[in-house]
Amino acid sequence: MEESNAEWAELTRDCLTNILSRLSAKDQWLGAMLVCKSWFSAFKEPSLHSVFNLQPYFDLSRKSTLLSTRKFKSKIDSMLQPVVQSTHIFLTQICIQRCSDRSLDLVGQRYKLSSKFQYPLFLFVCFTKCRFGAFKVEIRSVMSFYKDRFLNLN
Amino acid sequence: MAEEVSSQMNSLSISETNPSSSATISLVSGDDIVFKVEPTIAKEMETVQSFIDETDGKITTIPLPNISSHDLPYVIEYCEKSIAGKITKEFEAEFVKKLNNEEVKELFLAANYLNIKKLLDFLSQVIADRIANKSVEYVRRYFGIENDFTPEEEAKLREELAWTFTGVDPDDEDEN
Repeated sequence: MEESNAEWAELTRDCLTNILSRLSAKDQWLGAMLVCKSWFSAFKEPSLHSVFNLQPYFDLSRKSTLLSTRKFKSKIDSMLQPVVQSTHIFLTQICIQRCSDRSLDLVGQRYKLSSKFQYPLFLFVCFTKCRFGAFKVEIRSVMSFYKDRFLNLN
Repeated sequence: MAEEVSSQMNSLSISETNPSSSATISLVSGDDIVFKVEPTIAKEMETVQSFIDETDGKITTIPLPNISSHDLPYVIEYCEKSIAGKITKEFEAEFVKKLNNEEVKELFLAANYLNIKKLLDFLSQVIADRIANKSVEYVRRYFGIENDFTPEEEAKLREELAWTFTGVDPDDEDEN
């Protein structure tokens, strides 16, 4: 089946995107992106990395007190910052629940948000890039979202 | 009225020359095995159906050189279930249990070739599940893909991408 193997490096973009979009961000960036040049360039497809969603990580640790620690926040920072700075990845949506002001500043600069949108911690931040390049920023606050999921944890 | 009759005559004469046209479609695998399927099954396979449509239903034997007689029955089985509305989580779990990695890959290519959207989506998920949490090397081996990055390029990319996820290990919740 040598022939069919050659097909995998050159699968149509649609097919590849269909598979890759089902991987977690971690699997995409630590696995699939590095497979070969053709796969790497598949990640230029905006729909693949338009959403940086760390929600799964929050769900994993929702029962712990970790969420309220400085350490957790710095972990979120360390995930968000390289992704935001990477020239290979262009985000259209970021779903996080906590990060530092520094990270938000960074997002703001990279995506040219006006400073009034750079909110402090403890917010559920959701940046959505609109079709024409302007950002619509939803900062969903928080009260209802938080009450359910986090207030009772601390 | 006259027109209607003549069109009926027309279709009659077609079905006479091709007695099987309304009954079954013959799919011929790459290794020359013939599979007879209901026209409704063929409808699920866009590539096959468009071939039939193009020839106004006159041709009912369709060669599928890219698909082996090993894989075709799986495709047909999935299409049958799909028509019957019986694609359940249980069916899919059973279906996928029967398939090794090589077969999943071949079926994916078959589904792609035949343009069966549902099967393609399903197999995309199966493949994604099988390469989730695996190393780059594993993914390359899984697909038989040659690494065409130079060592320098790869090292640079790894460095750039990798530390995004270092230090984020959900298991270390307890250390504080």
